Amino acid sequence: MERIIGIDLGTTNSCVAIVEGGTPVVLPNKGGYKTTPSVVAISENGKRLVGHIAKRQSITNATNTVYASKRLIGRRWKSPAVRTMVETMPYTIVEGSNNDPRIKLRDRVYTVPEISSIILQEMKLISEEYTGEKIEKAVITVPAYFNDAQRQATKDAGRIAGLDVVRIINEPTAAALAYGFGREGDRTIAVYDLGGGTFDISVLSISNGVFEVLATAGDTFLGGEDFDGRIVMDWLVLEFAREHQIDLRRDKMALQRLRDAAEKAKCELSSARETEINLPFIISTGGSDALHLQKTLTRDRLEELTIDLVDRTVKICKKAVEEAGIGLKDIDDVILVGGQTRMPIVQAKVKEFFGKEPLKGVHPDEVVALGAAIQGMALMEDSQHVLLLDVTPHSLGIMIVGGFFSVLIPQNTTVPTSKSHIFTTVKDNQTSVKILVLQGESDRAEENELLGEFILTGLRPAPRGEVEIEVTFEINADGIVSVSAKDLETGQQQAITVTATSGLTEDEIKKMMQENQEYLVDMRRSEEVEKEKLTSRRTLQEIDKIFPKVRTVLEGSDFGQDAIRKAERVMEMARKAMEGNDHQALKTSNEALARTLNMFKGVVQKLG
Amino acid sequence: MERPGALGDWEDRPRRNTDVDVIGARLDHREAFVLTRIDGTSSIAEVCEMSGLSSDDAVRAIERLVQLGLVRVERAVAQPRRDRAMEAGWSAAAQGRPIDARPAVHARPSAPPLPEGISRGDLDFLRAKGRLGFVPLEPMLKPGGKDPIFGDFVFDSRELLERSELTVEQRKEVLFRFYGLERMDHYELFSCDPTEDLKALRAAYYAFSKRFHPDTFFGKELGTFAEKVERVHRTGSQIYEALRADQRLRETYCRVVLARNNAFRARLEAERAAKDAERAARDAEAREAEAREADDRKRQLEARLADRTRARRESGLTNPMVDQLKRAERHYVEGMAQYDAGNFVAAASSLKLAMTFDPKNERYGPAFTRVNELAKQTRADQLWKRGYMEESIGRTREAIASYIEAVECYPRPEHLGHVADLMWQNEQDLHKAAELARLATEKDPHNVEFQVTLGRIYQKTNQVKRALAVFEKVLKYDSGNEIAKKAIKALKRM
Repeated sequence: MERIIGIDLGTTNSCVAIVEGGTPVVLPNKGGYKTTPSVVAISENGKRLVGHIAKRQSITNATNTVYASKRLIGRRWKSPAVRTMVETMPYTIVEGSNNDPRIKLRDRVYTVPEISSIILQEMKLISEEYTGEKIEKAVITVPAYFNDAQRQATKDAGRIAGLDVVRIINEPTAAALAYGFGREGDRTIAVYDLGGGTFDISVLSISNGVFEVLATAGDTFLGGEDFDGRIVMDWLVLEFAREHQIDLRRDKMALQRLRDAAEKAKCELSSARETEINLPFIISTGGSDALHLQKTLTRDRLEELTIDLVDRTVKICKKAVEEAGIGLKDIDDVILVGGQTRMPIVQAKVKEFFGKEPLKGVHPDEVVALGAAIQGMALMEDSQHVLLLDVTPHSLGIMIVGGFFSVLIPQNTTVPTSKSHIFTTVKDNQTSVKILVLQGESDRAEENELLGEFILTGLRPAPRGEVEIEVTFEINADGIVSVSAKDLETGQQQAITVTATSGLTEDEIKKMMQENQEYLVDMRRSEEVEKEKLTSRRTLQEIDKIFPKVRTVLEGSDFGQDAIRKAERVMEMARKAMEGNDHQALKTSNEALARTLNMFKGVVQKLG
Repeated sequence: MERPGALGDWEDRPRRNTDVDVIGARLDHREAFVLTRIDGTSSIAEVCEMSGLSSDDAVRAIERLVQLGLVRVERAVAQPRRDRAMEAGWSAAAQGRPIDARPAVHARPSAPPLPEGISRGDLDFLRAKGRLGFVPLEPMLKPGGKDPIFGDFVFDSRELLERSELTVEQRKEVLFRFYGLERMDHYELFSCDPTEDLKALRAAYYAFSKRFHPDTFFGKELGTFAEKVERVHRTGSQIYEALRADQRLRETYCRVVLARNNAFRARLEAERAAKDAERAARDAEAREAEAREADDRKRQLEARLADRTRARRESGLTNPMVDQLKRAERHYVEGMAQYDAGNFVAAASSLKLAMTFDPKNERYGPAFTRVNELAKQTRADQLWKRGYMEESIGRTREAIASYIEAVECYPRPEHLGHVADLMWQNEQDLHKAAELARLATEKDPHNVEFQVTLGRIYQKTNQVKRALAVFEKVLKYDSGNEIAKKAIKALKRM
């Protein structure tokens, strides 16, 4: 059976898992870590760096290091979230051709799905190294509250990385899968998922392998990054400005150091009551003077800075429980997911709201990937032990006269689902109808997310009201929306033109897949060349070491002198090959070198 | 909606104007469908009900049909105005266009009375819920039905044989629900007992989901079943979500379905009891009549015996020989009378008796031979008719047996040909078939069809030479006969 990996593509960290012999396991990366930082960088020589190595060089290469790219995925250039990112991120965000934000690294502009695809590619590599098999299929998780564009963009990222994304599932749902997998009995649980960039809360009912999501709510711009941001912007930068009248935000490198230090301090405060933030030479003041930053952050101060964020999550929890149509006492277990839930105040608030101790024993960083792997297995195997009944987190609707939003599929409807709506012409001989499809909860259309403008074209000319077009809006199991239309009288499928969308076109994706492939081939080739060069260097060293001995032995005879000359020629050739990058030449010279070394060794051996 | 608009009253009856051409009319699918529901005896309300459309849509369709002149509305005369809820059936039929599949056909011209335990308010409440409150008039799975799982649902064999990676059982489950969506209640869809208990409903819905959620068939090639599975599960999800969220709907729906089931069961029982009583009465009557007849026969026999004794005594004849001759003559006369009346079988048996009593009589022999021939033909025709009926209802084996009996009774060439062909088609006793076909060709040597049949039988039983000979003969009579040409080609290859 083909194997499917589950990938938790996180804002700060990503994680990959697979089901082995019926048990889901998290796969460690080359460094032995179970999670890999979602950081991508382009080094000076144009090489892609991913994960720990990218994170480690982020301070020295801040402008060419992308992190938290998930906060940009599937968003519009003009959205407030992107605006905030543009201001606070050390890397450069520019406007792309599809009204999407793009990231400029060195001399190239990358789309956000491309950046994500580099991370996914790394996850794929980890799993291939672990299993020794080629992996082509994956289940990828997204925050439950992601909208259509964000899901679509994530799927695109998977494709660019050369993965067949068989399903997009929601992170809290995946966590619930990992929690409930193999568990007997009926349970109602709440999953509180506060990750690096997003917050989700889902309420699920689990029974005999069926996982039904009763309600989902969340905020896609509320996570650990915001907690760090509070430490940096509302405290460190402010205090520093008060003391030294210098705005640290102007210096990208300083900003990056502040961020790193803030994250570290935040993590430490989960166990300690207070911690030191010590950043010497944070900024130079012209000349040879430099200023240092030294501060003590207490847990109380941190909680003061971030309490409103925690309160926001509690408010969303309340909404979700109400939507689920159950009482707080009906919830059997509360699961905490995401690194940010390690913060004591978060745990305390969750406990206070749900009236029970959150469940321990679920690993907040790995549980989502495990769930994704379980879903992958459940889809592939025939016997149906696990079934997910997920819901759409946003209401789907269309804009109607007056700029109002008319809901067709309300939020928390089980997916896959579809709804038909009949449109009629309002003018005589009207040949096209424009439909604005939106996602969101506001009654005013403009306040919701525009998924696309669909134009029905080629309608037959007739008096107004006579042409009836049935438009079917569909949300598939991935939570992705599609629209189809047909003429009710003729039964003919109508053409739909999609305008205004921030996603990538099919051609763009294909091109990126191609480029990615080329990059990988290049990478592999240069890796091989490096390996050959290494062999040459080693062999040459060995030959050099025993050459004097051999020379004394062989010099005496004509034959010996001949052999020495030949050896010198071979070594010369090898040195030349090492200067170039010709794989074949390196290989040939290496073979010759190996023969020479063997011969020399034989001579030395005879000497005894 | 109090009145069906400009059309008149709910009681009024739409009728087809048969003299107006329907083909030329531009109707949409709804109007056309409503037109097919108009039978001249149903009222507007009933047509609306039967159409499965919302009454607004149905009325609009009827109005357009009236405008086009296809339909006229006749005023209901002096009928007591019935209650609208009763009129439309108590079923709270689906409002709005049917969500799925085939249109609902619950053609009940008059609605049954409201079952015990439910009120008008219940029905109005359910009707307002549209599809989610839909209760069909009868359960789809009837108690004591043919099949405990699929009832009397008829599967389309093409759909069962279609290319798809589903098992036949899975296909049946899906098709049954897909086409039954407008005929089954929610519990039948989930295959559970009627219940208002949320936990039981959830368990049923989860079990239903495990069977019908598209993910259950993930990665499988489903063909047209993909859409059907998706629809069945979507409808189920919508229903479950509505039931879960709305306690009143849950309770009312359960109550109405239970009441309907009770009423339906009661009706079935009443019908069965009535039928039983009727059969018992008929049986008793039959027994009585039989007894009376037996009595009559006995009395007649006694009377005849007494007559004969008296006659013999009166004539003074005692010679048994003469007595025999007289008897023979009497049978002959009776036989000829039957012959004149056209009762050949009875005539033949009388004449046979006459021959038995007086074998030397010169008149009796030829008369019997002639009449017997006719009697055989009659008998053969009767047997043939029986065979024909059996064939027409598909009981081929029995038909062939009757046919053979018939041709053995009297071998009409066309009968011989027919039965031989039938046996060839069904590969029944080809040896006998060949014999019959040969007989047919002997009796009617110029009939090409018989020859073809005979040839085919030979071909099937691998008698190549004989088959060739026959087909060549066919070509002599009918040089363009394609079957013979093809057969000869095939035979030559062998």
